Amino acid sequence: MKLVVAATPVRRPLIRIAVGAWLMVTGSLALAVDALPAPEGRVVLTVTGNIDVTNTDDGRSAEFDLEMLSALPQHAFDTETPWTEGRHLYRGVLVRDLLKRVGARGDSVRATALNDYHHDIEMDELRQEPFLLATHRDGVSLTVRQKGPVWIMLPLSDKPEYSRKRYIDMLVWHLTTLNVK
Amino acid sequence: MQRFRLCFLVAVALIFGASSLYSYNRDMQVVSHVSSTIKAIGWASSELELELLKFDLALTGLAADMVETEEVELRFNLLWSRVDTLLVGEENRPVREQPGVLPMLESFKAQLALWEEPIYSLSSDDDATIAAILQGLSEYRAMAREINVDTFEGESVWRQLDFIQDIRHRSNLYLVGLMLSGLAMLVLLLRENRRNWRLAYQDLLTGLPNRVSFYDQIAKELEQAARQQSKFALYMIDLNGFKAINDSLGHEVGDRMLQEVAKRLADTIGQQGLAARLGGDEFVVLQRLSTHEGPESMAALLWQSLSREVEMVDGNLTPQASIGISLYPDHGETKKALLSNADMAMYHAKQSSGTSVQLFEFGLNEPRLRRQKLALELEVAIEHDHLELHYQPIFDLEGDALESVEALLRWNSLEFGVINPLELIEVAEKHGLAPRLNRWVLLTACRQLQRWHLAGATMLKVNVNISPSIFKGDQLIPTIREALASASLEASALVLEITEDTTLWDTAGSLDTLQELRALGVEIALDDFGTGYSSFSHLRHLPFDKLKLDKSFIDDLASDPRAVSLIRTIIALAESLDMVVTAEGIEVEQQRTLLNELGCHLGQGYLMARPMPVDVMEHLLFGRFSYDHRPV
Repeated sequence: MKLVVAATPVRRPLIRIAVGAWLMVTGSLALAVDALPAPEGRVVLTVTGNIDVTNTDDGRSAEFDLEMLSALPQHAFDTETPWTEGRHLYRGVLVRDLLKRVGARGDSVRATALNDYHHDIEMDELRQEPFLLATHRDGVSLTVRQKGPVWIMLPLSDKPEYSRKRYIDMLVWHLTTLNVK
Repeated sequence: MQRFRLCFLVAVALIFGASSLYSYNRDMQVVSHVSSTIKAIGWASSELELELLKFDLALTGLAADMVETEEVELRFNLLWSRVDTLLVGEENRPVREQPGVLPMLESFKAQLALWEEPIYSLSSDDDATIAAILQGLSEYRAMAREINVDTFEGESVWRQLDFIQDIRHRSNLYLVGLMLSGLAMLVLLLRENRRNWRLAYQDLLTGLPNRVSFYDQIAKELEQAARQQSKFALYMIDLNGFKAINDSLGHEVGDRMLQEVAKRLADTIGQQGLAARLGGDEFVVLQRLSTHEGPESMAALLWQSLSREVEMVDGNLTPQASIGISLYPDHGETKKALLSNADMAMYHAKQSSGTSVQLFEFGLNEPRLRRQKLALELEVAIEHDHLELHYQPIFDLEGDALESVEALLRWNSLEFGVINPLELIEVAEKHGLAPRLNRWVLLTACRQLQRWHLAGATMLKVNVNISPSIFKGDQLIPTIREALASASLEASALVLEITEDTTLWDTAGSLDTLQELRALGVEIALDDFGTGYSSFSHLRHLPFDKLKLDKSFIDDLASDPRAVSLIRTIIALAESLDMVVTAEGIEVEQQRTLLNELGCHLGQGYLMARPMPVDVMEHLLFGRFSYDHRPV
């Protein structure tokens, strides 16, 4: 189940609002032109490579703290995963929205984790499938122990196809960097 | 229908092939899934070892002031997360299920929880704490290493890999097996289909098209001929005396003969038409004719081809065939008409001596048609009493007294008028109506006689003609009993007239019947004596009561002294054998006088009385005046 929620953190995850996803598209178009402020909190995600919008001194990457990520259009779904028990509601910004926000141009994106695991995902795939940069589970932000602070997620329970190894491998946890190539 | 079947077969084959491939792919998918699961488990497990090492390194680095506490915390959390990954969720269930893994993970998780507080309050100076944690960690490192090696390098992994390899092999074999069996199934189905088709449309003995197939073919030919205004000839071919060959030489010889005939017919007609076997020894050939072509030359060719000797194991046979021909459109425009007309011509050819090929002509079928119609009408007539008996008196030549009457069958057919009794008998015999006709005559005559007995003519007898074929059957005695019983008539009042027929008298059964009739009290007269072939030995052996002299003897009586002597001798002979002689066909007074003088007791003929219907007969019997029995 997919739902679009407001930019504020969801406190009652059980309220599932089925609203059309198109709302976000208009939102992100407006955001794309804005300059990106520098992060105030601890950086949880860095985007590097072919991007137009940066916020670092060297002008080569865009850094996000949790607050900045939460300020972007939020998307949520609940799903089971092969690494957790039961269904949980995952929330965060869609990869495609984030990439749009930083004006990413390229064929693929390398997602790298804190433990130096990495996986390359085709840009087309990122655009077509609802890859989520999950920062919250059941309304609470993900810790490192919970495979946070950012975990790439797909609504596995909604589409059996996502449970294939190909997609499962893309669900990088402890995500720290996205490198647009 | 054929097309539908083919489509069905193709569909079955496609479904079979698709499911085979699908199931093969499923197998392969499962195998690859299992393999990748094993790889993933290996990965997860080795990652644990790696995180342990990294945490170890971070702690060591902290002690050496080379690493920040944040890095240690991060490594601690990543290790925690890794342990959770192995403890929770479906993906790593197989790892947990390995012996010893779950207890180790749980105890390690508990240890991590115990370390949590020290770790978060750690500084680079806490050498003792760091050493203690490193000490504790080394145990788990050793355990993780051991499990890693056991689970993913040990024998069980090889077994699993072998097993997977085995599944791959077997899947390949299954696929090949499935494909082969599917192919075999398809081939068998097609063959069965073909066989069924052959059974339905081909004559198995000769390989020619069979009746059903020929009917289809001729329908097509008719359509085509009608469209193109062309003509064709049908040759109906029947072997003469084939039954005798089958009966005397055996079915093998018969079959061989049929095969040879079939081959010759097919060869002779070639591309000009087709040959088929309708059944038994009946063949038919269809020949497409051009505008000015007649059937004569092909008929001759066919006949000649059949007249050549057929080589058999025990000698040669020469088939003789009768061929009947009908032409489209001259002799009919339907399958039925053409076949029936060719058949008719063939029968005509068969029955007439000297002709073996007969072209159909209108009129050919009239006698046969008449007989068929008569048979149908006769059946109804017997049922509804539309037949009639006339009676001809037989007189005592001495005293002019009426001794008996001969019942004679008369039939006025609605369609054909008065029917000659001989034709009537022939029709009855040919169409199996003789027993019923015989029964009708006996019942009617007996009942009529009983009425006359009751009216006063108590001494009168009735003569009924019985044909030899009835005599040979086993229904005669029961029918006579029934007739006598139904009329409450004395058996002695019934005289059966039986024509002489040597084949009849030479069979033992006939003699038994005759004895039984005598025992019953019925009188028996030998009819038409002198025309047949009865020998004197018959007269000696067979228990006749009466002997009826044929009219041919009587005709010459007045003019031929030798006839007189012959009759005198016969009468003497009959008397000596206790038989009473009746003279038939007395037409002039002189004959009657002579016969009387010669000692002939009984006589009948136009001179005294013609056969007459019941009412005239009654007038004769019971007329108030002394009756005049001469013809009116």
